Amino acid sequence: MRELNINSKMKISILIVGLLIAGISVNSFASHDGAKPSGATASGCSDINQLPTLDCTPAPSSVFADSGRLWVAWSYAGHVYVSYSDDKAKTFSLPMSVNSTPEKISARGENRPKIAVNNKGAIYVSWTTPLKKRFTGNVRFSYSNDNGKTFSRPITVNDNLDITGHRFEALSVADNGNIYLAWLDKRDRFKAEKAAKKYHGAALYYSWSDNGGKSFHQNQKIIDHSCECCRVAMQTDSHNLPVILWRNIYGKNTRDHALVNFKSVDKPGEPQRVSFDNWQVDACPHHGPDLSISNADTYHLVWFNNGEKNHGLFYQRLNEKQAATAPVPFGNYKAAASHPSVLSKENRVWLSWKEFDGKKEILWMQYSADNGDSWNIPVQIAQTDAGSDYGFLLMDSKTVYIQWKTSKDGFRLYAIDKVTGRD
Amino acid sequence: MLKRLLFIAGITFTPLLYASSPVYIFTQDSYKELLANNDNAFIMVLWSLDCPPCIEELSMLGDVYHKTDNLNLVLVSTDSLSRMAEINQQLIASGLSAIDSWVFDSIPIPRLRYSIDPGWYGELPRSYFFTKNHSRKALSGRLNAEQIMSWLKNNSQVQTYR
Repeated sequence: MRELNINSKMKISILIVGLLIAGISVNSFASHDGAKPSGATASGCSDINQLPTLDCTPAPSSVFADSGRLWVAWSYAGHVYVSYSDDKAKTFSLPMSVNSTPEKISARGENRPKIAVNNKGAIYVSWTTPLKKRFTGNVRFSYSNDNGKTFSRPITVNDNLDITGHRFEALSVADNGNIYLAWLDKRDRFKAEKAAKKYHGAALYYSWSDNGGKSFHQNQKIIDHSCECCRVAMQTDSHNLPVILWRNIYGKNTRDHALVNFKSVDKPGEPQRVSFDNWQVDACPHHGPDLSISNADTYHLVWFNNGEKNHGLFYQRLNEKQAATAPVPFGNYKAAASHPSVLSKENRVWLSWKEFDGKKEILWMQYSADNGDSWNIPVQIAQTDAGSDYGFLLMDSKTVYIQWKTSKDGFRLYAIDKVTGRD
Repeated sequence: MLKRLLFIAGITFTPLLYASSPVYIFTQDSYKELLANNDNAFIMVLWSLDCPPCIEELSMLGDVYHKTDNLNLVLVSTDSLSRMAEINQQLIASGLSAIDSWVFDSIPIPRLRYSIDPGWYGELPRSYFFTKNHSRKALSGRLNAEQIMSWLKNNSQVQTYR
């Protein structure tokens, strides 16, 4: 024990010095925004003469454009970068910096830069920039109308600028071009605490742009008392309106999920509770849900909960009239099944999630050909004995993929139609 | 030279240099070592800088720690090693810099979680109450002072409230 402690102390000291040196390099890099790239690798992440690569980031997001091009947003050393791939993530373009002035960027697990594209090729990027005080931040947004050659000057979307939480944003673009952002907001908590009142959790706010992201409408609150550290899921429906799923706080401390759809762009409907697992805990699960909407405005929901009776991963479908199917458990709870993703297309539904068997992190997939009524046997897609990011389902015009970044293999897309045998 | 580097980087390093107790790296073997080296009942609390209820709990733990003279507490931060300066600042701010404190090693977090408890899903704060013979009770969520005092009453030879 003693020897371990001495070694540990030494390790920490060496590490701190190393990080500080790296930190200085990073700052230097940040001021060299226009530095010419030279094929950086992971080892080049702190090299001021090289542009960073996807290997330098822990938490990327990706989306396919109609053209079949994969766009990826990620961050490193104060910049959000966008790069693209025309060969399904085998090779990538040089990264394009979205923000010319460096700023802090949240990029861990539940909170990472987001990217969306519209059907005319515009690219939209959002992220959270943390402020000086812990658990605070602003929602930032930028767009490109020239295929990523240039990005607009980032704007702050939250219209409340108190030094408080405006974080964990979700981004979605509708077919009519409307851009939606929803996020966890603590402006009301900030106000309550100033008046020496208690306020539990955060609130869910949203805004939208109908001018291609040049400006956003006045922020609107959807609900008070959301959970404060779980990602928010948002998609747009066939009416070009957002549908949002998030972890909410019910009663004193019950962490279950809520969903809202909209009557019109400025009129959120009444949020409805969709999970009843009764996980009662005054904690940060750091474990948000996911949502996919199939063509018939059928919502496919997945989440993690850890209630006494109901625990693990669950899938649920809500149809147009909002009648819900009974939640279906999936994944192996005892192997820490976690961080689910869902994707749907017409009557087909895919689920993916991660498990850990004590040695390896394993990426799993499960498939339904009948709108979630029945499911095939879960299939292992990939595994790693190194660290890994969450898995994310996405699709181009005909193939479904899972984005999975591991520290050993880097950013990968796993085509999963090959697994199901479908095309 | 070290101080100069720190000054340039604009990071307040003083807390780490003068912290009362070092922060140890929590590896896959650390949980077993913790048990082997704790002959008495103790509480292990896992926390993170990114977890608001954890910070509230640390403040409570700091208060209880200073009001009692026999709280055998072990703190484990699940944050990355690169955030050591922030971790130390938080420990000092919560009055817990003298506590036996650890931070997760730079290996995949699921491995470290598994080494402690395969049945823990990452929610924070997470606490383990150990009896003298190391049977344990796990609790997710923010603790309150009454829980700590009640545990102290049942698990300590001598307990006084200053």
